[in-house]
Amino acid sequence: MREADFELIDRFLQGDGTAFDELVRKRQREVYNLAYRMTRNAEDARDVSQEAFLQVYRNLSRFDRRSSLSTWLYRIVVNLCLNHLNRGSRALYATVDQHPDPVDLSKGSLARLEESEQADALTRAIETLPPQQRASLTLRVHHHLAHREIADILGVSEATAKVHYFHAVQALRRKLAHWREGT
Amino acid sequence: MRCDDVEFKLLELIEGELPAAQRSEVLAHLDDCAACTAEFSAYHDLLTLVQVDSVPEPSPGFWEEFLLSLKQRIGQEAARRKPTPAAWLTGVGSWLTFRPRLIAGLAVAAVSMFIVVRLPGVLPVRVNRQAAPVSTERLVGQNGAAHTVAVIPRSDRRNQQSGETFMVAGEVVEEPSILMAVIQRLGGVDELADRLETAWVLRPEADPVDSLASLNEEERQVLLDHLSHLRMSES
Repeated sequence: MREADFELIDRFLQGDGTAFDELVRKRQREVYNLAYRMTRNAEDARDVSQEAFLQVYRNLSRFDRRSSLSTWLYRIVVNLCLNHLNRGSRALYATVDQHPDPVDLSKGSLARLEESEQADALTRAIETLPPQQRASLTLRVHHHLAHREIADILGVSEATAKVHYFHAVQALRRKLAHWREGT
Repeated sequence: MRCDDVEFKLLELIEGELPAAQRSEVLAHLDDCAACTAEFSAYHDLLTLVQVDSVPEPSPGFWEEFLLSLKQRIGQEAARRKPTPAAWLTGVGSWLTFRPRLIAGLAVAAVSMFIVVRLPGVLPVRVNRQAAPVSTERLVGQNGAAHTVAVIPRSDRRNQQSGETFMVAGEVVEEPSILMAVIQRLGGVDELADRLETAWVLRPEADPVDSLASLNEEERQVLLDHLSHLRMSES
């Protein structure tokens, strides 16, 4: 994967414009998914993903290949998301005002309803995590990165990355426990 | 092993990252402790739940539109960075058309300059060149808001050709990438302007909205040092 990425970069730097398209197609879904899980908003995820690829385009010639393209790309996406969340995104404020859609009881069993409510509760709980914790959790659980790689992306020590992750999981547990007690 | 010691290790146990010796200790504790076993199951269930938390599939045609739109932005940016002289003049012309006060101001400034230059002694003016900004830059943040950043040479580095040095809010920053990093870490240009009021940047080419991704380990360390210093000086 790493070599294939570098080959695409080489082709792009040699003037093959289609190589960048290929690179975007290859990485767009993981970039979008990461941005979505960070921002919890489809429109924000699209904007952040576009901006991330734009930055890749601008800086590909300066990419020193010490890390993998994924790590570099994730770092760009996470930085953009952190800036976005710090400024106050749509999703960040949605948590205060957003009410769940009315549930159509005729469509599913009680178990399905509970499952859907649990998923909603999880989404709301994730939205309340501080951005760095949210990043650690997403990179760990969904992108299967080692704590060392997450630390590299967040620009913190490995121990700090682990603590962010641990605190994120603990916070989610607490919030979901409250939700269970409330149901 | 105490329950408090075990809690932090449960996640590592679930992820299979606990060293063998600690693993046996934790497992032995779980055999005897119902509370920690319940804790273990709760973490396990939670991580399974987080894992299946899916991203909604974008609408059909989303990815085609995504690439198309990205390529348009790249094209627009390339065009913006290399304006043709004719396009530039047209732009300036249309800009001035709607600014009669500015035109009047420029005319007054031109007359004043003529008086100062041609009639020395009539209006003696002293210009403190050390303090005068060389230029200002409009930096547009990611939310579209623009800020003016003064770009000045430091007096003691005025003629320095190599080893470019920047200054952000009174802090000397040695590398362009670190300058960008500082600005990004502070939440972008908007936040920088809000929090530090005025950013004095020593070189006119800095593009703070560029990527920070080219930072290597050493640069990152320098950045962190700078950031901690900035935080200290702010508090």
